Amino acid sequence: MSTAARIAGALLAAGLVAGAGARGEARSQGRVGSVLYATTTRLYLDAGSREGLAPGQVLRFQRAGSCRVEQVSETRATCLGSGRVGDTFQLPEPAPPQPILRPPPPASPGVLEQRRNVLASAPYPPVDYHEAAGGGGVEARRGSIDAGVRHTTWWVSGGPGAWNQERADAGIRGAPLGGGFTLDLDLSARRWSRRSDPISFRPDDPTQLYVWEASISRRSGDGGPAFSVGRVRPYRVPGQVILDGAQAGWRLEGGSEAGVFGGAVPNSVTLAPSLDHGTFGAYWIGQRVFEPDSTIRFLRHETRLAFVNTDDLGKRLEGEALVEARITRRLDAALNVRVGASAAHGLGSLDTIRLDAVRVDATARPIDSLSLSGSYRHEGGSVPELDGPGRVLLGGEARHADLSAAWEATETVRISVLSGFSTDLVTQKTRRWIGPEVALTRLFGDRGGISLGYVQEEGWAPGRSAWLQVLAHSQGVLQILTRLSWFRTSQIAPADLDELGVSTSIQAQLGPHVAFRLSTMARTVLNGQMELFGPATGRMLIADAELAGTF
Amino acid sequence: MSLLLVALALVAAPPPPSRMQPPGHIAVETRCEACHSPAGWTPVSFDHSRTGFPLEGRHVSASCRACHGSSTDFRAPVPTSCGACHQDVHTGEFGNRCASCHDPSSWATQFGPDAHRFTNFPLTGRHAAIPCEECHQNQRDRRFTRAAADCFACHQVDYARTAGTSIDHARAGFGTDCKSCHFPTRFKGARFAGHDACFQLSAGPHAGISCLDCHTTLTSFAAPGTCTTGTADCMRCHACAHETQTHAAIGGFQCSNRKCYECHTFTAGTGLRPPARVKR
Repeated sequence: MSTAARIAGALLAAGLVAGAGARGEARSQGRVGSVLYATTTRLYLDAGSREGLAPGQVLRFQRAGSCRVEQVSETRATCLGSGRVGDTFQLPEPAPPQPILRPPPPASPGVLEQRRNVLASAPYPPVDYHEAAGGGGVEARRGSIDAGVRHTTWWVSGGPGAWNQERADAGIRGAPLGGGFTLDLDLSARRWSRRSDPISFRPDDPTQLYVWEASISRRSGDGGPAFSVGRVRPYRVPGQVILDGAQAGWRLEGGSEAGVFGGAVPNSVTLAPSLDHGTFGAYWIGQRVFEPDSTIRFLRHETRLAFVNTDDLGKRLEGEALVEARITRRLDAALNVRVGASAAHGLGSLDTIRLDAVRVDATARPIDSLSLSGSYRHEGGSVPELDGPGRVLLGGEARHADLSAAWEATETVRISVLSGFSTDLVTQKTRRWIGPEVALTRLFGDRGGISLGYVQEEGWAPGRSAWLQVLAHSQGVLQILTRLSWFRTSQIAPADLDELGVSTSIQAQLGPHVAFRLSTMARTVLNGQMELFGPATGRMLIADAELAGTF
Repeated sequence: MSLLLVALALVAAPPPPSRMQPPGHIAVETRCEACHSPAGWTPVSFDHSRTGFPLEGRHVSASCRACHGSSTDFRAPVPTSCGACHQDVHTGEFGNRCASCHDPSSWATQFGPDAHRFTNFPLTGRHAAIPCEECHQNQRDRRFTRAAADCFACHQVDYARTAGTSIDHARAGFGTDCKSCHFPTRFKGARFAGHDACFQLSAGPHAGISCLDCHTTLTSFAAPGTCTTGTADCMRCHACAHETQTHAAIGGFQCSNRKCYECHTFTAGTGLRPPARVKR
């Protein structure tokens, strides 16, 4: 070999070695993973155990933020934290390669043939997908239990003292009892450990128990008989009060149902059982899902016709209908109408039928970045309510409407306009309000944002409101919301009233099933007839602490 | 003939083996790994935020069937309104827009005194710090309607409670527009706007003083506006010795309530000035 050839060979070898080294370095630097999808609390990564990820690892994004690996498959992983699609992170160094174990030499053809025959003659059942039994339907639930204990304090300066209440709430939703039966329970026990005059609501009952629901039901998504018995909140019967009795119907596959209900109606204030009042009637529930590309995507309608005798409204014949539709993917709308007639002298002598309620709700998203939401309520029926011992207020006829628009200007800026009006048809007093709100949803990056709002108010108590709200959260474990508000109200007092308020809400997820919530609201009057922060200045505080569990 | 046999064979032959398709699954969807893992058919993992309905709060742990029903065709439209899945406990009063008061983290209400501003009754003063059920008393239907925009509708009892007290509202002929005198913070410390017609209290040196600072009694009200109660006692604050000295040059001065009032009414248009200084 000539000298020139040796030199050329050496250069080629050096080039190959250098090239291999560069490729190796590039591969080392390129070991990054990225976020494929992102929800508010969970990220979906394009790397898995093959890339060295393991549950519990903390990944730090090269842009900002971090997350904790939750579950890992061979090539994918989920991660709890905040991030954006496309965020990248450094993958852990790969494990050193395992020494190559030389496999034993292959078996002889005779042995292989023998094994093949054994496998071919062995029966094996095909793996198939079997849907879990137990029905389905929109209302299908696996059952859940909610329980919580709370303490609440109300305090006002210059008053006779704080009000303190302890309370325990429990709710069981669709807990399976076997045989297709489920249990529903909804109750609250409250104890006033301290109260001072004046008291309007149940002044003689420091301990109160409310049971809204305690029923056993059977309702299958596959159709067939459906019923509930006990203290029943009638299933999807629009506007029907709770009752101590039963609801029975026949259910079709797909969720439509028709049936009857009847029973005694508990007291409106104490919920104590009473045979003095009752109700019976019939209902129809229909719902239909249309083709994904059709104009109407979903339609639900519920109807009720009932005789109702309650302690607050007396004997009445009521009819009610609710229609809800999803129209294309841009519009959701609902209409609810209730009519009623007094039957104080029996069903044979009904009074004039009155329009008790009309309610319209609509939410539209004409373009992806713009959403419009509005509602209209007409409450035509008087709703008597107790006001202190032996006193009953008659009223409740009102109209209310609101309209809001929200524009997602960018990924981090949302601009909204809030507006509405409310009219009391008894006193003809009306209030109207309108104002903007600007939200910087990612001012603190993954940790939260702020919003500022202002509302101008007109009507019988005109005024204006402004607020600054800060929301901070940490990987779905802790959330803190603080709101600073200022209000000016005119014509509600001998002089304009300026108030300043601070409210805070803290939610801490202590574990997979236990959460702690603390809410406080403090306000002070900035002017008026009293000196600022003087002993008689209107200062007030509400503090509410709750330990809640979900199982 | 052979062609016929071939055709018959094709018709009679069993269909070619196909991929196992779970009942109800979308025929074209074959990317099982988008939702399932080799560990088993459950649990299922799916990025729901791409559907326009991100799963937040308690919705994260909801089962797919709770919303999508027994069908596994997840392309089938599902209404996104709260009322489509959650039964209404308010007997329809608020329609299906639960989000005005609740959020996905809990059914505990988020509707506080600040939100009450967007109703016909802003919670001012003490109204912001009382339990909801003090006004909204129907617990059975969890309703919140009430004709309470008018003060007297709720505070009629308080008006009647003044009977026999030093400020008997009915006896004094006070109206029922509570807010013309009272602040929403507390009943005490009321202002009587009509008092300015007789003696200015809304401004000036006597602004903010209470009734019994001047009046010896409030049980014998004359008709409001006639300025003839005869119970105002200037000498409670203004010592005679001092006033006699400061009014030495004023002809006809007498240290008596009636004489003070003849000059110092503090009402608009009288042209008389308040004293430069008040000595208590």
